[in-house]
Amino acid sequence: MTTVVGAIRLDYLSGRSYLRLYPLFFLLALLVGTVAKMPVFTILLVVILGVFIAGGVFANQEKNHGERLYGTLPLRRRDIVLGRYLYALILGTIASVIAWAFGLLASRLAGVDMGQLGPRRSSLGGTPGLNSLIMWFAIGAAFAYFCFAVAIAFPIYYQFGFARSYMFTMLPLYLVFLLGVLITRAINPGSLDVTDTIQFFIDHVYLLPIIGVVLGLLFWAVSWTIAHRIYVHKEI
Amino acid sequence: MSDAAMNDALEVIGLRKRYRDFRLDSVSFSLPAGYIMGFVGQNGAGKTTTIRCILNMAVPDGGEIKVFGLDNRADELAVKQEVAVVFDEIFFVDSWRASDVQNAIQGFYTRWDRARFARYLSDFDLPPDKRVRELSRGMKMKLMLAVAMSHGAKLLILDEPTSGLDPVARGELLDILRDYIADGTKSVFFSTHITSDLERIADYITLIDAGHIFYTGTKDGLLEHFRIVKGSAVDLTEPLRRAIIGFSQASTGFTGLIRTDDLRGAPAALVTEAPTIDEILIHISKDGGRS
Ligand SMILES: Nc1ncnc2c1ncn2[C@@H]1O[C@H](COP(=O)(O)OP(=O)(O)OP(=O)(O)O)[C@@H](O)[C@H]1O
Ligand SMILES: [Mg+2]
Repeated sequence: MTTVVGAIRLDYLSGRSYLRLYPLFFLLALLVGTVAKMPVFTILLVVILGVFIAGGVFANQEKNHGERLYGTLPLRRRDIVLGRYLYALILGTIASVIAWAFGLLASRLAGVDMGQLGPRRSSLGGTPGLNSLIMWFAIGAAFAYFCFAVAIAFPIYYQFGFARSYMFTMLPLYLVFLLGVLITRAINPGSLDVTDTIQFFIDHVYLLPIIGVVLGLLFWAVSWTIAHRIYVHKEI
Repeated sequence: MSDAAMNDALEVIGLRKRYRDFRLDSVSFSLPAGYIMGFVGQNGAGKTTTIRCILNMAVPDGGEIKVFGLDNRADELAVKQEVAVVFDEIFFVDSWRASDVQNAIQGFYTRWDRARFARYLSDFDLPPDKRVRELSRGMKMKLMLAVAMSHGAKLLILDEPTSGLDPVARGELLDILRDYIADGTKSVFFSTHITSDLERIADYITLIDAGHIFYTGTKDGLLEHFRIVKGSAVDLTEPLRRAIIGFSQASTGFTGLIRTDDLRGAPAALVTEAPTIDEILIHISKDGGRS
């Protein structure tokens, strides 16, 4: 077993008892999206839960003097950080797949399109290929959001410890909302003709998850570098 | 690498580490392979800090640390294969059972011995189905020891393993340590402030006081090095006064600790006796770190 794989496995094993609780919350997310007839809700909730699971590794480690366990094992600091980030990546991938599957399921159960944003039919409905566009957009965005959230939270946890900074788990969400509001204000989408863009992505729908993954990995890599810098010299 | 370095399980040379209100000041000592060294000092003397530096958990400001001749940072992975650690608090996940601990940890060690771990669990009467959080303090300590002794480590580092244990459990633990080094290839470095533990099993003693090493060497050497000295006021000369550690004076006379060497030429009327380790600790702490 190489040490990085060992570190990933240790992250998994030390939080395993909590992982059992999460399926319940995933089902709840499914229920919310179905009842509200907004499958996008399900996707959003599942991914946010995924971010919580990833942060839970830090919570759990702090509670159990985990830094001492990791510090006494034959593990380099850089392997510990890389292992943690790879474990997060695995969680993010799983969460994205669940988000997509449950989003689809919610849309079936509710009898609405994936992209429908409320009980009434979306105004965009009817364009051929739009459903799959929104579906693939959702999964790409889900993954990118997960990585973005982890990218912001993890270095903060490494620097300040989880107990003192767990509220930052929600920070990325606020940032995304803030960014969304600012962009909407700035470009006034009503005046924009996006038909061509949408048609482009309908024709090249595979690009959406690729963009999401590339963007996500970029966040992930930058954050990992920062966390590595922080942790290599940290006193434990 | 010199022969001496090869034969030392642990060698700390000029270790310096500064915190806001505390400083490890050029800490040096060495533990020859095959022996037990006790690391004593009062609360806040710097024992845990030294151990954290050895384990590369804290970054020293200067000095060198070698484990079996290997640099503790440059050769961290090799060093940690040879070192096992027990802290005063258990560091396994509280929902784990003994088997989960083994499952999580064995893959990191090239020489993990499942049979030996199983034997320790039964020797120590550790209930295999209990979770870590359900174990008593003594059981937790034994679980950590079982893990520590099952991966073929040649150096066991323990930070106050006996604190919070009842006398029976403490005695058991000391016996376990003694058995562990019996084959002559393994060494133990343990910090404590329970000096009776040292009197029972330590071969070497390192005394630390406010970040300074006050004494390091054999236990017998320590007890020969120092005497408790008592005398009446008329016998107290100025050089004698300066040589006495933890000096105290009452109407009947004075008392304190003195290096045996400093007794040469002292008045014959002085009464001297062998100190206990406790008495040495108490006297040096009175002087607030003067060495
Ligand atoms: N991370 C840290 N930041 C600042 N100061 C620290 C840190 N760790 C230890 N210290 C200080 O270093 C000094 C020595 O602490 P240390 O834990 O090494 O003592 P100790 O000998 O193990 O004591 P005890 O017997 O109580 O366990 C203390 O004054 C402590 O406050
Ligand atoms: Mg301590």
